[in-house]
Amino acid sequence: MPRPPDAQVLDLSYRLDPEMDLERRLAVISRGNDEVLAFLRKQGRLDDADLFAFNLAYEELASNVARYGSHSGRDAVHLRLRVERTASSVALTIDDDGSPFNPFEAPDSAGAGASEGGRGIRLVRAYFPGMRYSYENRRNVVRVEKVF
Amino acid sequence: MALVNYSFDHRDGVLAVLLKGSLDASNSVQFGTDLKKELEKEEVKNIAFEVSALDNMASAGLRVVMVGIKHCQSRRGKFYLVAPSQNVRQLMRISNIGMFMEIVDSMDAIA
Repeated sequence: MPRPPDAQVLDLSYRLDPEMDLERRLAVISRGNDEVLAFLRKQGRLDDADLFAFNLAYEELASNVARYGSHSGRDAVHLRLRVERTASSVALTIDDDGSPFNPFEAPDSAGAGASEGGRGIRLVRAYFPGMRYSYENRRNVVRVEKVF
Repeated sequence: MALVNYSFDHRDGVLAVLLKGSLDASNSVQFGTDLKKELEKEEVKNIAFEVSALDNMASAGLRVVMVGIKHCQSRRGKFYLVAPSQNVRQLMRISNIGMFMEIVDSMDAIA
């Protein structure tokens, strides 16, 4: 991913091997939470509500990859995470090389009967209405951003 | 893995659950399992999640909250969320789950 010249950037990547069960996959991607929060705290300008929202976005988007990202069980899925802090914005981008999965096509469920996956994406969109999805170079790319 | 600590305390028909840390996809399954075991130990009509020290939460944590809410609804009891931060309070509102619970400032407010 290209790096904007004035940006402070955190890049992380995780490998989800096909023999991992869901519990192990979730444990792997969970490591990113602390690193993302520590990086964002260092950058300043984000209040508790912003940190909570970015933590939630990472948690929902990365756990979706852990749950649903696959190559029909044959190969590892590589998840990459970038947090970019510029003078005017903070952006979180998660991409993976799993099968195409558009989170906007997840059921827009709500309330007591909602499925977990649908609820998670709905929550991310509530905190980040400008959430974007694209499929580029055989990778699912999801980006959320807070503009100051 | 994100850390969550929790403890259970039965008080006069209320199961008080003290939660601290972050409740995410990596730890909510175990928490949900332990909650269900606790609900089987004795008759519980009302549940109170004390969350003043809960820093982060996501949809996986909300799923466990729904387990508690459904348990209380099936027994004509109440589910209480005690001392949530503004962030957790907002999450309950955005997720539409807040309408199924009573939010109070302290355990003393539970009759």
